[in-house]
Amino acid sequence: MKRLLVLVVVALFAVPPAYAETIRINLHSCCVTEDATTKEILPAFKKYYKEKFSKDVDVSASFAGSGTLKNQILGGAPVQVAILSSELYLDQLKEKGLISSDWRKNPNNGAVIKSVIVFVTRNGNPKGLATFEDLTRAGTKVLHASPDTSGGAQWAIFAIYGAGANFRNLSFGAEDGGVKLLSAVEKNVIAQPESARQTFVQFDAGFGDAIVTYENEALLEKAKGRDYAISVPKKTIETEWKVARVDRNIRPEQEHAVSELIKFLYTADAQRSYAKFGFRPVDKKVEKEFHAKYAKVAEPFTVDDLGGWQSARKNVIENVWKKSQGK
Amino acid sequence: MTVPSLSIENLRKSFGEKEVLAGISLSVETRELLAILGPSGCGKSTLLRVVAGLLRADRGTVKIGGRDMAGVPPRDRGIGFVFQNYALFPKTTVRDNIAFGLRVRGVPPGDRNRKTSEMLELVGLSEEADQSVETLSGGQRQRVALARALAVSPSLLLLDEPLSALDIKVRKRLRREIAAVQKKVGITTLIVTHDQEEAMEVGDRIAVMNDGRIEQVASPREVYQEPATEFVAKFIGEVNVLPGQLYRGTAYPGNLAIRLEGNGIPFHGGTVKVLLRPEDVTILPPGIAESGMTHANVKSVTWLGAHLRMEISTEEGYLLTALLQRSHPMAERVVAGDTVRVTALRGTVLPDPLGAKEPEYFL
Amino acid sequence: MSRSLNIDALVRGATFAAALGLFFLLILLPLVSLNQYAVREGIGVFWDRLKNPDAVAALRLTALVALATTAVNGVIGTAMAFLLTRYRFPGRKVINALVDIPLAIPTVVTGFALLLMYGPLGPVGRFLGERNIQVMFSFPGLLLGHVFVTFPFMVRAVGAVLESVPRSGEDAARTLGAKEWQVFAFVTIPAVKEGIIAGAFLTFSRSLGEFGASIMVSGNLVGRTQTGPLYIFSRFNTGDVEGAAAIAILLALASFLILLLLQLVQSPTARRAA
Repeated sequence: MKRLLVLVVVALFAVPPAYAETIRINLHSCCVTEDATTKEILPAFKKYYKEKFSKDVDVSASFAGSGTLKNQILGGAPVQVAILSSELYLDQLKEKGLISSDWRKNPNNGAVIKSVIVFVTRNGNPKGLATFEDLTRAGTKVLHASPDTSGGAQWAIFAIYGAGANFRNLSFGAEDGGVKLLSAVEKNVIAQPESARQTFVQFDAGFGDAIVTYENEALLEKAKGRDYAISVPKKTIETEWKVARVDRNIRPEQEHAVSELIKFLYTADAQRSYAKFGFRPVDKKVEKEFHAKYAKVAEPFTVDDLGGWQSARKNVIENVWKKSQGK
Repeated sequence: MTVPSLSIENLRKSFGEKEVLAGISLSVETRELLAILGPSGCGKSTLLRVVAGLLRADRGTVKIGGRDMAGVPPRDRGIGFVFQNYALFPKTTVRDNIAFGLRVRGVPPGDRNRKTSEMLELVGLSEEADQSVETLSGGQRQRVALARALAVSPSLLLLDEPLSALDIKVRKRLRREIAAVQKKVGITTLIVTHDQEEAMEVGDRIAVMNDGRIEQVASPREVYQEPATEFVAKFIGEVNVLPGQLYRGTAYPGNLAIRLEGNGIPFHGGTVKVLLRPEDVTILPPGIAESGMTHANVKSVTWLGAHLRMEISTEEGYLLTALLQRSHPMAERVVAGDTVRVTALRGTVLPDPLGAKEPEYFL
Repeated sequence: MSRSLNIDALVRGATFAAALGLFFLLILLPLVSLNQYAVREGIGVFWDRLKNPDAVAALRLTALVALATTAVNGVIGTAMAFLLTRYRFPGRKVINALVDIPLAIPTVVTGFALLLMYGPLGPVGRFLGERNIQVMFSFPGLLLGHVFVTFPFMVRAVGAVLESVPRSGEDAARTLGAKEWQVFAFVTIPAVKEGIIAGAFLTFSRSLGEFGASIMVSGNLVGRTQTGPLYIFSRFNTGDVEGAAAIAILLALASFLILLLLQLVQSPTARRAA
């Protein structure tokens, strides 16, 4: 009798997870998407999935800098969906076999949220900094994160370069307008901490006149009550966050939930949630709804204008930015 | 009249509530070796440090060679100091230790080497000159400390219990060596010790100190035979203390009558404490019928090699300690339980204003 | 009788094996795997990474900061040890406890606190700013952070030795004619020499690996204010793990050699004190 009881108990514990009702998937999402994701998007998705497919899905989300997320995934973290700021990281993951599908097949080449590179100044913008050229003025102290460790900083470097470059003639040489502008700005950079967050810590402590960073980071600071001014330059880069399936980690039973989640991120509701929390939506209709919140950029450009991620990384960061250090 | 080498007047020093020096006055003649003798905690080390300038007294003066030392740091007092733990400079050779004082005073190397060699000779450490002091025995280290202190040709040598860390055979040998060196160099010396044998052996005079005060300053003989206070009597050697009366130069403790000698008994009558040294107490066969003696019973006999120590209980109820020479006619035969006659050959008295009736035995 | 001896021997053996095993797992294996990473792509790549000018600049900066930190701490740490050991004053026990605070605070917090204090908003920063002196994001800022973090090492190393030094040596020197500075130079300092050396080695070693405070106050400018550990971190983040590992190995080796040297240089008594 006792033996039977033991067997039953053991059998109960040995029930494979597939028999359990709830589907669990892990999402790693970059940077400051935490509020938008956990407060609105994931609860909405859970509700949607239950209504449409009568199943319970539990999405566990983790947030950090893109670089850290990428390292975690490389290190074997059981993540099924990743939203990262740098296509380079996705390429790396593909190289190591973690991603096998093509994320560019999704709408917008895989981009699910956007922002622009701006700079944050002290309240009232006392030094009147409006364009990247203004940042080259003598005595202006500039902060941005280190492109070695921060995806956002890479976008920032692209933005500065692009603002001065002629896209029809990118030589990356000494006469290149972008090279001149970037080198000049870098001379005024007083610190390059490892992440955008840390940059704000230093700015809060009183250092620097301007931080070159994502618009959404800037909006987050203002929402926290900081009295900073945001300058959206006339000519700046549009940053993108791309979503990708981490194919190697996806089990058959998770397949459906994963593709539904990715689709869901593109829906108007999800896009609205992102827009509420500082990100520019990729959905054109939702974009119009929020036009009052997001300043129109007069001359926006993308990383493709710089030759695509790989090329931009090599030419602008490895070449121009690196050379402008240590002087 | 020559100026005393060291003159101390009414020195007072307190540490917090405790008064450690309660008005010390002392003078030391040139070339003299004065031993400051006293029990632990009596303030003798403090006194030495004040003389050296390592401590500052609350009141009083110290004059070395007639010069007032107020405000003068140790390095300018012309003193040499030997510490209880020697305070040698570690990981340094004997030679370098001895030469230290000369070096910091800027003595040129030639003179320095000469003087150092001289000192090494003086204390007999020439062979060990280049050894590290860590390799030396206690006695050798002591000699290095002495040589080091003398190397700077001080006019006053101060030794703070220099031998207390050594074992007895070494101590005995070394104290003679120190006395010899002192006589040879002819330097005025102050030595602090709690060992009365040491003080008696090396001191030209002894200053007996107790509880921050000097009880007596006198030659070893005087301090022993004519102690000025009860403390001195008890501290130096062994002594029997009996209550008695003094009349016309004779002390009468109980049945005993002891003819007193010495430098003028200052009073002619009254109640006194009679002090008898054990070696002055002697026994006689029971049949002797003379006055000034008393009957006693031998309580114990201890053979000490050169002497015999006896505990004797007299008919007055005194318990005396007697020290007999081996040559005493009764030495071989006397045993515990014997009845004997007891008398004292010599003694001294101290005034006893309180008139204690009970005898005290201090050994 | 022999049975209890066997059990004793067994327990001793087991404890010994466990301790050794843990050391192997926790300390040695990670070091070995670090090695594997560094030479994974071959020795050529390894050397290449070491020769990288940014790496060389980072290593040079790290070495300079470590030396400067050791020098500064050598003086103020020793002074503090003297103050705490030789003098009695109100609040001594409190100050004594505070000396160890840098060990308890996460280094990033230290960096942040320094930023606030020396930044344009802080009391000292404002004062210095008026005189146009910028301390943070530069060598002085790094030095401040490192000195703060390594302070306890120096104080405790010197203090331990100082406590066991008898004062009579100094008095002896005084009676022999030494002026106070001579007493200090010829007697006091040699007496605590071993403590100073131990403290210096520990300070230097700790400074080599300092990360948390450095990342806040250095500014992390490649080739200028980026120290070794910061360089390693940034290499790792760009995916150049071989580069990170190569420099990490170098720093680990340097620290190891320094500490080994300390063991050899010290006498057994000083080793106990440290």
